[in-house]
Amino acid sequence: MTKQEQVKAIFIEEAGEIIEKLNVDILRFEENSADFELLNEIFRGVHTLKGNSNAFGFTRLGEFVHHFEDLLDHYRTTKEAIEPDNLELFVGSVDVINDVMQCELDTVEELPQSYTLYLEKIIALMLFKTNQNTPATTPAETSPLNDLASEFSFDEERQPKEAIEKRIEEYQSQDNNPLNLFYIDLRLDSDGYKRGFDPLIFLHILQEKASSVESFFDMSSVKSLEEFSADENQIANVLILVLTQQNISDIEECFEFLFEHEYTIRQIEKDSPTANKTSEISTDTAVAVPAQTESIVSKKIENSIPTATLVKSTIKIDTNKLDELFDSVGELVIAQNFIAQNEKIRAIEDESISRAIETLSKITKRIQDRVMSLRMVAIRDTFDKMKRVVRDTSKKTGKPLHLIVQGEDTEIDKTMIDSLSDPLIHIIRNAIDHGLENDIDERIAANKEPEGTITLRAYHKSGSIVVSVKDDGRGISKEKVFQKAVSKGIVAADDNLTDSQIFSLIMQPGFSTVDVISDLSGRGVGLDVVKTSIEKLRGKIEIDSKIGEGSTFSMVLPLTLAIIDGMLVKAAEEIYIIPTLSVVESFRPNEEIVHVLKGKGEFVSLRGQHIPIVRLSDVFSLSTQRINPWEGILVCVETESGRIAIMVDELLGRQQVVIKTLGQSLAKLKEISGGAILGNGDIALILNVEAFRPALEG
Amino acid sequence: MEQNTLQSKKERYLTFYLGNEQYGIAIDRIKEIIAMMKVTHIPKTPDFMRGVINLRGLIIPVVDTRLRFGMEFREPDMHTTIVIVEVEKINIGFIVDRVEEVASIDPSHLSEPPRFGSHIDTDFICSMAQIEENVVMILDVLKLFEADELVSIENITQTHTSQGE
Repeated sequence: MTKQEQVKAIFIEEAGEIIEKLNVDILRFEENSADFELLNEIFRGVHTLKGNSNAFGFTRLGEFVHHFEDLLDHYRTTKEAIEPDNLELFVGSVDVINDVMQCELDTVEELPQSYTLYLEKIIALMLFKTNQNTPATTPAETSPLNDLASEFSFDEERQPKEAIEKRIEEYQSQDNNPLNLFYIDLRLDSDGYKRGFDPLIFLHILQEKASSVESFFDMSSVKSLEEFSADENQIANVLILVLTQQNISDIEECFEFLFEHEYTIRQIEKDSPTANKTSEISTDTAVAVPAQTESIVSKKIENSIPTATLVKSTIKIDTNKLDELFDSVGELVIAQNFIAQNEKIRAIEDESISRAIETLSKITKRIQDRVMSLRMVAIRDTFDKMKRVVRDTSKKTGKPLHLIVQGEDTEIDKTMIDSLSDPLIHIIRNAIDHGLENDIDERIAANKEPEGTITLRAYHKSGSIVVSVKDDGRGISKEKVFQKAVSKGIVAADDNLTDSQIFSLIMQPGFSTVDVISDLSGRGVGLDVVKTSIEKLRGKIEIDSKIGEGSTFSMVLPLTLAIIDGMLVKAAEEIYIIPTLSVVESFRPNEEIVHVLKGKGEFVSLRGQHIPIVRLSDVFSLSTQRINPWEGILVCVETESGRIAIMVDELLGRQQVVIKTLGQSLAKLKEISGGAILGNGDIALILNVEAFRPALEG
Repeated sequence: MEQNTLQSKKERYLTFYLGNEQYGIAIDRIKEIIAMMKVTHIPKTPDFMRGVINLRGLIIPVVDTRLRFGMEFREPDMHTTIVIVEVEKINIGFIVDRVEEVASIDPSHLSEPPRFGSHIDTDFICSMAQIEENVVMILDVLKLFEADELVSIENITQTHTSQGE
């Protein structure tokens, strides 16, 4: 990879993140279009995207983003209320950005139709807005900032006033701070440069005297390039905070050549009441940034969504590096165990040595836990993405609904989160499209709120993570599902199935592609795909439903992809691991319930069900003495094609194990999903029960 | 060592024995040499695929080089060694009878392998070299690797189809 390509790769990654964030922000903004802070956030994202895409030759994206930015800028500077139609345009534009980005990445020549459509809409709206505004309003207050100003104004520190207040509060809260804090308001006359003054000069002087200098430039009155004059000071005022050992007269000395009206210096008192101070400052700065006060007030009242959580310092790390770290820690744990269990070391019986080993084991455990937690991220981002899905589906189907999100802070393995989105989108769409009643009257007749409710929830449940989607719609009719499955030949009419087994029938491939009873229609389209992708994550889907009350689809996932809860079994002197998630029960059968069907194999009859027995030693062609099923142990597991009973010699216990791959050449073995290193350093193979088939029908 | 650095043009090879024959593998392919340890058998793999070992937390497949070359199985003894070879970031262990030495061989002393009858597939042998009295067969690890991958895949699909699913 050349340097250029590397930089490009970074851009693409960044752009992806920006667009993802835009998607989330624009939705929040749609909910609360008076939140101009959020609009600013969106604007900043779009702005960065513009610069980057032009730099890397994605001109089509750059063009679109450029106009979109202009429009956003208009709203954010005028603080004009946004018409619902135009809000729709915003949301659509983010979609277009998403699509165009994809086109640029795939170097597709043809752009989506929406590109030109939205671009024209944006330009038209922008034209309309600029024509409407310029003559009507007074330039000082609402005229859109010209280019230069928007580039250089309080772009980075959008709330200088707030920042200053915060700083002052901080200072005041430090009782024993020996330094003095000065608040300087510098307003140079326009001929300041000619007299040899420049705000920067003062900053330099102050810098020499102070331990910290902070300054805020108000660029709002800087004229556009056509009218700009380099020898004229157009910076209306500069706010400076100086933390210094020196007293007020020393500071005043710096400014003694200025006219008195050009500056004010105030020492911030430590003991003065905060409220009083802040209000004073507000009025001070209100002159410079008049419109902002309003927006802050409205924000405080209307903005119920916390934005603070977004501000978190993070580092990007290549996941491969994390995996390497994870592996090394695994080695460390094994080495530590070796020391702790070493007979010779134990024989020493010296307190200091045993204490040192004890400490070592504690630290190792802590490192292990922390390294594990590095892979974990909150599910919040995924849920945020889902809000968009819910909104779109709700609009498309014309069903008004209310979304409840719970457990956003639940942490999930990063690799899992990435492959969780698609199944989740699918389930949500299904829930809205087919779960909720088609018209409101039907809901009202059933004594429900006219608005449907979709609950998105993530929580921990006995060593697993559950992500569930619940609707309060019609529910699924067990009987109808069963009848249909019988008519399709998936199950026999006399099969004795549990509720969850019946519901899981709707995830069978092709279950609903044929014409179905009306209130079931569509349910199950693609659900088999969802099922497969969840199973790839070593998870499973549980469905619960009550007629008239709604359905819940729960994805039960392991805590992390790297670790599974396994049942250790022994067959032909080798240890194997069966994932506990798929184990239903294990038992030693009575001789009476084991049946041998000639030419078909062995069965065990359990509570009316006939479960085929699969001998592990047969599957793996292990040479071992053939024992009768009632002398061994049967581990009953749930697989896609029904229950099977795996026969092993004995059960050894249950343990959490770290899954390791067996390498490329051995990964082709279907029956084995990986290996795990046991406490004594031996390797045990992890069985993939899905690949086990009773060798009987053939 | 000094000799080696002086004659830097010479390639260095790890030589080892299988039965009475001496083989060599280019030293830069070799990751480490470990004593024979417990190997966990993997079912449904060809015989020469002895299984996997736990090398400080990493699971590494191990090939019995004797069986791979169609020689008879031999019980491991105190000289039995596993040579860990790394090719394209994949580690694989080769069980050999005895590791001999690291030999420097002048490229000019390497000759083409003979193309006539031998119970060893000559594809794996990229050249022959004379070290004092002995003839050393230099193995092309890459080919050994690729062939192993192919063999194991073929074998697995075969066992599956023969099951008649």
